[in-house]
Amino acid sequence: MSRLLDIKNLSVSFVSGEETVRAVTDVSFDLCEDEVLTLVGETGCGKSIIAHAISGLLPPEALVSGEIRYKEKDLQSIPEEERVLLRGCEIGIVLQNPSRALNPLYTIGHQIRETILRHTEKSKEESHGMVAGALRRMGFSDPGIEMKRYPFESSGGMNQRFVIASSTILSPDLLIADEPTTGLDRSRIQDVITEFERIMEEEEMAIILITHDLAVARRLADRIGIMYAGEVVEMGDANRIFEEPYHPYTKGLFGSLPENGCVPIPGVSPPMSRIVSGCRFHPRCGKRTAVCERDHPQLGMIDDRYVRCHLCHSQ
Amino acid sequence: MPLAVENIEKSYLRGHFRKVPFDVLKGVSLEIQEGETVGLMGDSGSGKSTLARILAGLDRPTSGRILYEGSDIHRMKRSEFRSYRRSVQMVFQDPASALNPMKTIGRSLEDVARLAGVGSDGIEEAVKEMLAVGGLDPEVLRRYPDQISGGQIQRIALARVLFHRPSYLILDEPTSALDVSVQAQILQLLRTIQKETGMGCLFISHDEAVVRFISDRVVRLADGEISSDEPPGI
Repeated sequence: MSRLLDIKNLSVSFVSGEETVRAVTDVSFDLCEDEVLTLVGETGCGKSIIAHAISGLLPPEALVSGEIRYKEKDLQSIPEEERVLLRGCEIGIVLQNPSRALNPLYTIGHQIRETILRHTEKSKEESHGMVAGALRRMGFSDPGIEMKRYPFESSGGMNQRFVIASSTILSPDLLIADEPTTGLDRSRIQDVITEFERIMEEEEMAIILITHDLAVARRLADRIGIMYAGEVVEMGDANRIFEEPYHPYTKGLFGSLPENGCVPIPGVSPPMSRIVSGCRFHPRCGKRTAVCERDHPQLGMIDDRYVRCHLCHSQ
Repeated sequence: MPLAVENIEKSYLRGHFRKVPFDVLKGVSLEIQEGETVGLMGDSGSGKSTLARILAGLDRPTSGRILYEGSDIHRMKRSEFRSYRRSVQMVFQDPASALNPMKTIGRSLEDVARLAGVGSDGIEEAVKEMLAVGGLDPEVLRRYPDQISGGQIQRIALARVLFHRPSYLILDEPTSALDVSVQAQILQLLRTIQKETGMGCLFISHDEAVVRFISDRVVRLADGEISSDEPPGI
């Protein structure tokens, strides 16, 4: 598999008054064609900021450093017109809140068709057929009826599937899905998972899936990156990390699951404007030592994965 | 005394131009004992939240009875109904919407004490009590709702309703918007409080693992009817 995306030392911060919010610090990873990478972490840990940085959807006041290379192209230096063409055509995006991603004044059919008409030379009739096909693949038995619906006439789960249909209709090479299952009930989550599994099986598409739902991550991911306070703290093969987490935060996160006894991690995540010195997780880590409080750990290889922890590296 | 609903039915008129009656609940009967946690599951639109609102006295059923201490709550005297509303409290999925965004958390908690009849000399003590129950840092008192995390807001919501020392607590998706580690903190806090106070709980969620963890019994609603009522089975 060849490399599709290469992110090196990506940092994103925002200046608000006298405060600097360091949303993402020094994140590096790559993504191969056909691979599913899941970024997992708590609210505010910087996962969505990475998705927005790749998609070029960060607000203008964001201070971005580092490299984001897509098919060898530096996405930060290409003109906006080229970026707009890439987005929707080669890079599909599924945003967190489907009801906000859809225009309430247009029908579903109109909105999905717009993607095709904007990026290809297809006629209205041809695009109509493509939309019907995409909706049928998404499990809607009568696409004609669904195309005439407005977003408010559909449930959150249906709207999410419409957004996925719209984002994947041109078979992008990269799909970025930011919390596609948040706010949906279990059976709707199952629908979305099934749709992703179909995409993974039938289409050659790399996927970056951002979620805080560990069950969804485990089902879909080839590789997983665990994020804490703007940094990747553990990254590697998803099955191996779920079987045997190394980083104390990853262990804490998995231990918080109801099926593992709901053992909470003490304390709360630090505000991104007041990052502690040393390891960012040390105030909540039961195994911290003096070095954890003093030195900031680097992301280093241990066995089959990358881990950012002094203790793991010293063992 | 148990809290019970008997043969509850609820219909709404639905539609934009032509109003069509829609049956949300179709003869639901359910009993919650003191100290018991009943998990209520079901898909969106199955009637979970409607049942919760009816139990909390925030909505009236089309037919059927809600029995508390042997009396139908909608046949109670006004003062008795007010006391029922204090005894059966509710926590919502998005508690931030129940907090005044223009007031600091401290002011909001002072209001809770004042409305509960605490005199001005006891308000500081009452706020301290709420902070202790919710395991909250006094630092949150000077913050506004948009300056604190979802987990802290949910702790404040719990502390606020528990100040009334309810006999029953209805929680409508209280952890759906929270991260797993914060969810674990709230569930453990709820368990501790329940052990100390012996209150009964109706815990609504669509997360099977969460419901199994917290509940003594799991009731499933499907299309407005109870489809199963069984132990959590862990």
